[in-house]
Amino acid sequence: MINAKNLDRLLRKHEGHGPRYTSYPTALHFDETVGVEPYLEQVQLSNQLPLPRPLSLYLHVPFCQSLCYYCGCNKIVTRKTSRADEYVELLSQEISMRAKAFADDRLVQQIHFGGGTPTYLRLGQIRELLEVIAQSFHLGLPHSLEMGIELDPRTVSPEDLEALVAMGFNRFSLGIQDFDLGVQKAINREQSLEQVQALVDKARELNIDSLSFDVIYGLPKQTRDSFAHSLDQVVALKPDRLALYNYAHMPQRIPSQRLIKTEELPSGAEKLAIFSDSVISLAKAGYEYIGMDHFALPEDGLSKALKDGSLQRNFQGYSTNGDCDLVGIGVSAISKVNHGYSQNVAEISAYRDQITCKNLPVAKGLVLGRDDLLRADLIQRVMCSGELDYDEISQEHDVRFEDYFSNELDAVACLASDGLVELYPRGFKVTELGRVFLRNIAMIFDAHLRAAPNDIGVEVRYSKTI
Amino acid sequence: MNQQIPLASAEYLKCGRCSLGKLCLPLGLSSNDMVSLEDIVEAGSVYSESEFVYRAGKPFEYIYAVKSGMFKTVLVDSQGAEHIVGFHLPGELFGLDAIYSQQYGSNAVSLGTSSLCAIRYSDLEVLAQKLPSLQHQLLSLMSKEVHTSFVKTHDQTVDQKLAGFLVALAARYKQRGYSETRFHLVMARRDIANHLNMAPETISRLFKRFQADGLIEVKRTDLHILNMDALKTLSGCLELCSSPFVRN
Repeated sequence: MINAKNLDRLLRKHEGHGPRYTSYPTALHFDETVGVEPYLEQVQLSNQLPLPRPLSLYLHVPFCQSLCYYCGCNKIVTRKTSRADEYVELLSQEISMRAKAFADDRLVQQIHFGGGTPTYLRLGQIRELLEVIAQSFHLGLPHSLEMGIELDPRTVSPEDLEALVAMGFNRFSLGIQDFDLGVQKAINREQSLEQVQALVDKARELNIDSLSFDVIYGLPKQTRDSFAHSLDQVVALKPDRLALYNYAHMPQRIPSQRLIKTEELPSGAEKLAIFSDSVISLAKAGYEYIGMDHFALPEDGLSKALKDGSLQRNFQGYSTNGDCDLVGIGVSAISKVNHGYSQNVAEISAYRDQITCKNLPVAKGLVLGRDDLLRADLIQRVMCSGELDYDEISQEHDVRFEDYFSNELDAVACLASDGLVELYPRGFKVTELGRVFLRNIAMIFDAHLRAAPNDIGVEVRYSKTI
Repeated sequence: MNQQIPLASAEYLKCGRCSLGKLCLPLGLSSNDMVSLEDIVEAGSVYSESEFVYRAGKPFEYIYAVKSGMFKTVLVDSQGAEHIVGFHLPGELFGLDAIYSQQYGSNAVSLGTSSLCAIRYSDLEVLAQKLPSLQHQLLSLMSKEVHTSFVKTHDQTVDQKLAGFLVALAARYKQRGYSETRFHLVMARRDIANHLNMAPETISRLFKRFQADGLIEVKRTDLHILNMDALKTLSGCLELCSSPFVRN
């Protein structure tokens, strides 16, 4: 069990800015000259593997009914539902274009609807998109097909959940953020505990595979006490998974955050205390700390994957779904296929133009070179299993680990003295305490971060590590 | 995994110093004879991915020995359909089928960055008349090609064909001093499928089944053979057990 006092001290010591490593290199390094052709080339290469990977589809629905001030996602706040009608049409076309490039034996194992607010779409539209996916791609068998959707408790009814389950959805993720009304008003997102309770009850009754909550700390008007109370309410609802996100206040980059009063934000020290309290109280409530922002009950797939080493990190956080090629569909969606990343255009007008011209709407991307692949593998291991075996890596990547990473290993030794990692003769392992500091450990191996001009550059582009 | 065969570097270009000498033409040559062979070998031309060495119909001039990497030879029928006759590893010769017709019968194409030694056949013929051991090795290598083509005409199930292909590839890597249980499948799935006359989807289905049965483990292009005996049994052992060309 983690000692609270020691955790506080180390949180203060290692506080800083850094990437969340949902990818390495991060999306900031995507290049506008890497467009459709490199993407298609990577698809071809992925098709030619002896045993090609299954596919995971991500559909981005950017629309929201109202503006949540904290949100930094790519979204469009509108009440004109006609915009969704047009968007569904465009998505359908992109789905069929994307599918054509993949070989017939590339089965879809995972479908995830994210946003924005995916349920901004009518249920009929979601069903239509699933049908287009089924017609265009080849779906895995029902028991192995993970279908998830992010839900806004304010706009979804228990009856809607029934309809979604009937379509095949087996994972729901609820945007909770905070149960405190004062906080909810300050972020312009009011939703009652009763609303959430009704959805949770229905989801249980429908026996869905996994129910996940998103909660945010560092929001305006939060205090240690108020957040502890909210977290108690969260824990009482027993979500299988819990994402505890750190609110990154970057009003210079995200205009809607200017509507948040800076003086209402908890101080840095208070925020660290909130996080520290939460780690301790979630552990007491029986949640396993998966890593980064994620917690899960021991019987949930994520906890099992952490134990058996099959855990993966991807754009949606953590996943149990092995090694898929990820196909992003919709504005700003990111694909990861073979050794390439590729991100769609963010603006809906540009998206419309590209789709109308029958072009894949790719804006930028990156094809990983040898050094990137090696470091991406290391960071993936740090973030997931938390174990590095130098000999294994040396063999798989054809390098001499200790020569290649001699500087990095000095930095690892420093973290070992704080008890964040345990050193072995030919490797190291992240400790239970160290899982709270995964970003700091991963950053050691990030070559792009070192290339950044100075700390200020890092600060502007990345959120705080803890 | 470190299974890629390194490119030739200058000091290893001579037959006498080439690590492939035991597999290739120089087998059994004395050091004096080796010099005569080296005189007629144009060593170490490098080809980039998908580059042609020759195309079908080109007048016969050279036979080729793979120095590093891999090449495929491809027959093209009158409808333009391609059939991959073989994949050629370091120390293996190709172009031999052109001796009788005096023109190449297939396209020879590089897989990845690879290199070759070229030997003008007219020179080789003259030299082989003087050097019995060279003549013997040349005929042995040709006989091996004939044997391989016999094996391929045998009626096999898809499982047998793929297992046999992997077992034979493993044996060829072993001969070259590499691991026989862990190697890199350099060729595209489409090419393996074409070579074995199957659909590409059949290849992935079989790889998945072999993996589920614990015979192999596939990570991207890295193949790990977990149960060689079972794979050999499955293959019917045709390419290997009766093979005179697996020498250690």
